[in-house]
Amino acid sequence: MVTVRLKVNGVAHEGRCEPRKLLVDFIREDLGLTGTHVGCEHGICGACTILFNGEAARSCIMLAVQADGAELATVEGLMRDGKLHPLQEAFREHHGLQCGFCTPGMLMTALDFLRTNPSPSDREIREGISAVLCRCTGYQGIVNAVRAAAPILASGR
Amino acid sequence: MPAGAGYALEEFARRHGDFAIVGIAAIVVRDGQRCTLARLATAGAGPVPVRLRAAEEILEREGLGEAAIEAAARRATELVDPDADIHASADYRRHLAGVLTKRALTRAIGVARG
Amino acid sequence: MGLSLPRLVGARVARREDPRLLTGQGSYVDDHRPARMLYAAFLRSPHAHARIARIDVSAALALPGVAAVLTGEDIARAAKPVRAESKTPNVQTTSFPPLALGKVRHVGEAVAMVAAESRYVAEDAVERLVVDYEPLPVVKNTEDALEPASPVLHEEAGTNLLVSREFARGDVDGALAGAALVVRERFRFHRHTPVCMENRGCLADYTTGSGTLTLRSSAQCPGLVRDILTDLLGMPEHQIRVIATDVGGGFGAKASLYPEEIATCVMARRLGRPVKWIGDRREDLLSTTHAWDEIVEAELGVNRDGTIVGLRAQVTADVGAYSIYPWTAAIEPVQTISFLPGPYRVPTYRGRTRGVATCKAPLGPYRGVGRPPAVFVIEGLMDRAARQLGLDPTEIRLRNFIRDEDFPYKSPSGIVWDRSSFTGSLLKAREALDYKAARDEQRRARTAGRWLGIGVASYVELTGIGSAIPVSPGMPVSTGTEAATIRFDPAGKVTAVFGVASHGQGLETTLAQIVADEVGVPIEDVRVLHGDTEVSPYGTGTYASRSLVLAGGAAILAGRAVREKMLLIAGHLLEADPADITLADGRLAVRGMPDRSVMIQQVARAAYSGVRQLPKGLEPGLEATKFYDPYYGTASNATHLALVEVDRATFQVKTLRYVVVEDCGRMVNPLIVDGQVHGGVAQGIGAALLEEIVYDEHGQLLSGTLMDYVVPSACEIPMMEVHHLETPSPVTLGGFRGMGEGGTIGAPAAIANAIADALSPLGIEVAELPVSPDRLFRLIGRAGGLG
Repeated sequence: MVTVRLKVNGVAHEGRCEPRKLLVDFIREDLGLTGTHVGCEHGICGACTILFNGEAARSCIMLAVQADGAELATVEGLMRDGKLHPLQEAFREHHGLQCGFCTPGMLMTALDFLRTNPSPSDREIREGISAVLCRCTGYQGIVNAVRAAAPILASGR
Repeated sequence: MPAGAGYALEEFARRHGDFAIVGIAAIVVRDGQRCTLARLATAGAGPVPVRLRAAEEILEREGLGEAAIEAAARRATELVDPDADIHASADYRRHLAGVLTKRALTRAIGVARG
Repeated sequence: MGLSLPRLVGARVARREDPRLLTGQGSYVDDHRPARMLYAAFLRSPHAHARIARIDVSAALALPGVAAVLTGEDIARAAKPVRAESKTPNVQTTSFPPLALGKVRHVGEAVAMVAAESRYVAEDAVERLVVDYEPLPVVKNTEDALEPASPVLHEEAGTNLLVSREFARGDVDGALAGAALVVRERFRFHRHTPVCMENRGCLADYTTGSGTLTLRSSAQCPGLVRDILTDLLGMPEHQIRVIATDVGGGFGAKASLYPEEIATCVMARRLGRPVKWIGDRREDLLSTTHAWDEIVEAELGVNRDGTIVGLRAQVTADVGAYSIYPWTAAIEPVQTISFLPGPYRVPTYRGRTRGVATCKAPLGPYRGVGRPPAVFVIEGLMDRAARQLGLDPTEIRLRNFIRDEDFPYKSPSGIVWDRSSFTGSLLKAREALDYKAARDEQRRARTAGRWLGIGVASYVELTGIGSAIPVSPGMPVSTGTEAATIRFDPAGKVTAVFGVASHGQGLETTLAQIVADEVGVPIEDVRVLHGDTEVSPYGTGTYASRSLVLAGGAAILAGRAVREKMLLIAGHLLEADPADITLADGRLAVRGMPDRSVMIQQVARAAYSGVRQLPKGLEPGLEATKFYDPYYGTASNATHLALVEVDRATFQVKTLRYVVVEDCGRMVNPLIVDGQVHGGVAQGIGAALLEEIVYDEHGQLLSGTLMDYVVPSACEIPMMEVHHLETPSPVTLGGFRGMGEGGTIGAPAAIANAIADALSPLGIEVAELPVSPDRLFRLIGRAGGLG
């Protein structure tokens, strides 16, 4: 067993787990944060995407021990004072989700993407979210949501 | 990388961001229409990346005109020995090797100075 | 009695589901972790066909943290095997044991089950299980399976031909023999799988004290699951609770009863502890039902002017190793011949279908069921006829569509189309694309050496099906009814409970819209519950594009009953005739006397305050439960138009524009309708260009990861232009029609036709999906188009 100390959404956590435990399982089971989802366990679908030291990372192909000393952001940390993050609001307004399973991964990916490309074209948005698979929306509502959210996030509102 | 070299990587995948079915990397150093250096390497068109030396030699010998590019691309298809899998047959990979060689060279030449 | 005008039905209301799903507060099966829970893992067969000689569980049981191991023999003592029976002749009933019994019939079939303290330990234990298999010859495809000497998968059937059916009308042989032109083709729609983003899973908990079993499952049909479990487990139905939690996509993949659900219930009952199984993606690709795997040999006979004289087809479906419950192996092959004639006037027809067993995962429902291949075929034949006659493909369709004056129209398979907008949707689609400009663009592109193509696909499907027509012909359960309970609480808020099970299509929102309109409250005051057999009136679930029609219809009936009672109570409170009471903006008032009014909340409180507050003889309470059976079904149609470009060198296909004009009757929430179209079209584009389940000749699954089964990313899907016509259904309450499956029904055909159109100068037809660049490379090479 190993000890993992990390920060998640600004809160310090400590847990003990086997070295082989996946980071996504650690987040879901040991930390009780079930918003991050497991879709494939082989790094393709993106449902498990979190921010690892500020950058999007697939937590299903990382081990929990790799997160020792790291700062993670998960979907649970997006709300502020009980209000939806502007990106979440945009997803709601533009029907950017249906079953919701890819949504946490999509949100974290979009967040990282908009940080690096605050004023993207539609083509760039599609490339930016291409790492997360969605079977419900055909991506249209998601692209519309990210396009709408971009200027709001860029202005820091 | 020699100064003024043009380079390009052309990949083909079924889906954006996937590992390429076939990829071709090209480096070209030009002097007008003359080619002083050409490097061509494959990805996915065999079990390991491969230098396409015979295709490089065509360019270094015949220059960077359209006919030479076509000839180099054709030679590339003869040099690769691709496997087949559920995504692509060996013949199609061979075909792609030629297509991507031409595209990579065209782009690399366009970027090269001299 | 007056009512406020409809405010919410028809409006783009943001979804009630979203806040919890956006914030990671969804409640999927894997999010539940009751105390003392164990984790399950399954050993799956590495052989496609083999006898099981011996299973040694001792090493697995000896591993610390392992609570139990079950094999097929153990389960057989505790549960009956699933047998999906059919009332139709020529559909063989075969057993589907929850864990393999005696032999395995496909790679990935569950052979043994471990329950342990963690999934990690459970998988360690699975690796320690020892199974002696005696391999049998593999039945690798339908052709081999039908050979007289072929091994037979199910001894009790004595044959691999599990399904046989025919629909016919008139003398099609005579009509085709005398036709001015007959086009024929052998179509191949390869095997696909739905790939829900959430893998299947379930959590069973048996409480010994009360003898109740609770099963949380990623299921589309909790009512159906509960019905069958009572039979299989020998437990009274009212002791079983099935909860479909938040479910991460269904598309039909989660509409069947699965072995893992039964095995998990048995394990939980044996151990007296909650047991959870969550499948991984490998298991999903191996064992979730596959789809659309058909060969269709078809012929279309037409007059010189392109009007159809006859349609003849033989469908052979590879139904895999087992017949799933409740749909049976017949669902896919029979639906194909039911809907093959499409939206056209087809005077003579013969559709024959066969469902053939092979050593592959079972075939089951996937968005469109039978209709994606059917539309690929008929729309492909129409285009071939058009090309040979020199007719524009949209023109040949316009000449053949069932017209307004033909409705109601009985199709050759016996389905009655009530009223639809086939012509209207095609004309509007042409206009939306600017068809003439697109053809001009194509001409210019051709001159420049580019391969640009336009493809059209029109279809009609039957939705909102009532009890007259089984969703799968001959299936053992009735799927024609849903119910709604609408209940006011004393504070004037409403709970509406349904037996459907939303899994992405926003029923918590759309049903709330209907209820709110019926009882005159704001949508925020309506809470919709669904997917839990403990709280809902009897229902089956969400599948077959039925929920809005059936549950929505029941909501209207229950809403009317509650509203009537509100008017009676208000009349009593206001000392007025209920017929003179109006309901608007939360207030019930005497017509013409706005000062004589009460709020809905006052009426609700009065309903629960005892008989003195109520008219004489009126029972207290303010709730109603109503059941709705639309009896038949209602047509839903669309036209898809795709503009594609085929890369001249790589043969990659790019979808440049995609137009849909769809008619789902009276729309409840256009936002959600659009979303359903987008998602279905994306799956259809994936099916046409990228996705294919591939087995090798030993029955090994080669497409076993998401790298190999390629579902489209955002880069492979264009922006879709969706337009709506609203022809209210004449046969459903509310005028609603179902529409969730349309995208996958039309898109493969539209894309196939567009590619053929792009390559028509080379004389190439598209008869096989998916159209991979490799397949196009070979087609084009054969046509001499390379170089």
